[in-house]
Amino acid sequence: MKHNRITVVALATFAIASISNPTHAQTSVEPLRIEIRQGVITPVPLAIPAFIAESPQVGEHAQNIRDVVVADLTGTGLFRELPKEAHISTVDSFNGPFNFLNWKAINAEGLIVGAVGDNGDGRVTVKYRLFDVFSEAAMGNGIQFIADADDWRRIGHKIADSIYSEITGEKPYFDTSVAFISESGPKSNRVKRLAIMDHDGANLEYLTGGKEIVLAPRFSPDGGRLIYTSYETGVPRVQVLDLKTRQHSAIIESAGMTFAPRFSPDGSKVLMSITLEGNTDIYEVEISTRRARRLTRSVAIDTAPSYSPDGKWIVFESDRSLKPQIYVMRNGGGEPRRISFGQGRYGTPVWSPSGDYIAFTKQNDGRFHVGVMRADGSSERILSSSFLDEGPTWAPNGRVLMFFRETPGSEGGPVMISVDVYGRNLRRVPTPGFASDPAWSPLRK
Amino acid sequence: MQAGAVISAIFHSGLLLLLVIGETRREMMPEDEMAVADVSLISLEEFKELRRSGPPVELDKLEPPVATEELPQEERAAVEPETVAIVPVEVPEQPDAPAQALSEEVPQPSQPFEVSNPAQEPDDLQQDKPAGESDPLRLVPDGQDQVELIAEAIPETLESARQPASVSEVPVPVDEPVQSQTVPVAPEETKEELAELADRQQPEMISTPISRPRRRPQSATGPEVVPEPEPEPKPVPEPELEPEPEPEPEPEPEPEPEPEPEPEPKPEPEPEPEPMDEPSIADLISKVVDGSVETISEEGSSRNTGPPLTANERDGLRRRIEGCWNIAALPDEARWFTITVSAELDRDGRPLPESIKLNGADGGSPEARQKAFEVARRAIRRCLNDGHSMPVEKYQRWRRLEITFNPEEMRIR
Repeated sequence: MKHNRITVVALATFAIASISNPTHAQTSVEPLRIEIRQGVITPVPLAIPAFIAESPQVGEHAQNIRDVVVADLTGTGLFRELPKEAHISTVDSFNGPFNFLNWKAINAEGLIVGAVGDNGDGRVTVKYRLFDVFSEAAMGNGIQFIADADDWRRIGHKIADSIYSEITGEKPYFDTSVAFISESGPKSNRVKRLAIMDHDGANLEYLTGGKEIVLAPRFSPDGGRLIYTSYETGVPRVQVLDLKTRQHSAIIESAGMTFAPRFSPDGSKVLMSITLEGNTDIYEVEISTRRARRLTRSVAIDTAPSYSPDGKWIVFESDRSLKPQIYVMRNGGGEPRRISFGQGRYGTPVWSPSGDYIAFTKQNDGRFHVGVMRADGSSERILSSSFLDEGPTWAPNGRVLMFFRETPGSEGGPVMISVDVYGRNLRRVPTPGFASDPAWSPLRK
Repeated sequence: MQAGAVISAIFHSGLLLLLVIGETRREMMPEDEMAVADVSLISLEEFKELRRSGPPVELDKLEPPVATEELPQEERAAVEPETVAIVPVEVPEQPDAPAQALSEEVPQPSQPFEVSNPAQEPDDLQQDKPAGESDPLRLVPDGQDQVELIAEAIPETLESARQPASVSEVPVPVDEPVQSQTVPVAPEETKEELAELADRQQPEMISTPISRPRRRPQSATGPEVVPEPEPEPKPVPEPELEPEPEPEPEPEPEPEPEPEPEPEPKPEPEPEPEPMDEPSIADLISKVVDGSVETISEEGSSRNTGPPLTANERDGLRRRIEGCWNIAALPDEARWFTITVSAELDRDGRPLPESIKLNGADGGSPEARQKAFEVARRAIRRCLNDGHSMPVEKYQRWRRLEITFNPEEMRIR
């Protein structure tokens, strides 16, 4: 009885408090709930004013480094640079102040400020900051690099990498190299040379002379070695090349053909196909001992093996079901499981460095495609389509691919193309001539 | 508005006073009734017997009344009924037995109702607390976890950003990163522009409590520009709204305690149908608790909530944000889960910068959730930076937003 009355009094107090306190009344109103299911996909506008040259000697470097940053970021298709003509503010000091209202006014979402100083010993100090214009706050810490002035390209790539990661949350990939087969001469007598360059086409170098045919280069996980197939002896042989010493050697002496090599994630082993007595299977070769272990045993052609990034699985191509398809098995071998079931023929699978996708080449209805699928074969997505698209390779962040496209006709030849994992931003990679079989390096150290 | 509030407060304080006094008086009455009810269990004669024969314990001791045999028969006859009467006397002792049992807990069982009430209340509280409090307690740590995770994600991305730098060029974090960037100085600007710039940037420098100063100038400029229209006086209550951002975290726990008072009024009218006033008060209270404040204070509350938003008004806001939700830079992982973001708008439809918060996500790593949140936050800020036209009279309907960003349909585009 009394308990009830106490309750009544308490509730009356609560009610009156509720009425007399507008805050409570207001907060009792439910928030407006909205679900956003549609969005836009458009490059994020960035304002990148000229980098500040802290001394006249580094004026050119400041300009060059900024240009590399701009090219890297806009080359992703995720960002666009707001033209200098649109700027209504200037950045005169690295430490600001920055009039964010003026950057908002031109719809800049990010502001990149950089400065280059001369250390006087042939080195430069380059620093940058990234700001979220609408929140008027820095994104991440500013970073500065001290390097030889001649390395200004790498400094630019590193700054771009840092900005890319800060905005997208993805791992970087600008400070990388691409090995590929440079092709020149008539189609009937092509000269193929192993070459290497920056991912944007700069700093091109040839690694072989062109006497022999070379194919399918692949980087070691540390980026210090290349493994490739050479016809130096007239028979395809897997060779390994030390990029520092430029020394190369066969990775295994075999009576049969060895080809389609790929390093293991720890760099200690190499997967490859070996053809013996007309049968092609997949082998794993321990580099230190040069001993090979056979992983598949079928009368079919098993080739193009690739490790998963954790090294526990191997994806490969096999025609054991009559048409070439993609299979996955454990790293030590075992019963493979087919994961490709779409129309057409599937080949050259490559596990992405991030582990979530497998890239492949697909031939269907007379056309070639490069696509990706989940590691279980689901969510197949075709990224390209042409007369001949082939040989996908992953950027180290697993978000961008490169492959080569052969153009038809007697004058045609291969060119390298990059595309993101969603099929957007398809663009040609600049090379001096024809180029095929790209291999993307890990991030440089 | 304030006069009305004062009058309302006085009125309700009076009502409260009346209720308290009334209840206090009622408390006095039932005490007597209960006392009568207890005593009525023992008849007057029995009471006399008790007094005559002494305390029950002594009666038990004296029960073998050897002396009775020594009494004359007349006296024996008079005594025998008395001895028989002891049985009913012992029966009344049974009601005392629970009192004795209670006396084990409470040494002096002289006021049974006082003893029983404390005994019930702890029970009620023990039952209610685990049900009512455990949930909010779970919610709070969850939220904290998320905040912590986000806080952790930032240094992680910073680390990863530094890593490439540590390779050969030896990057060094720049000292003094952000402090000076918000000082609004630009030689080309006019004084007005500079003042506006200062208004917008200064709060950011102070960091968190900035959102309120930012609203003040808006509410101040509102009446100046359009002093006549009646909807404009609504900026006046803005000073009252200022404390609102603080109770923001409360709305979620609030609804949970609300159901608790409801069940309590219900059992009350059932055992005691007589007091007609109490259920009606309880009804009113339950309505207040339910949020239908209009029934009690139409003036205040209807102005607070306003009529519901129309579908067009909702869709307009949704489409506006959709147009700015740019998933180009959304990490791939963040395309596989949804996040919920809360925000608070001022009366012009501009988001209060510090109000945009990540409420939750149904998957993803902390880093991916953080990036998804940053993209969503950019969408809200970018699209609503210049405000969004919404009916001011319904401000309370759209003041607080809870936006779910669902990338499912954007995954393959």
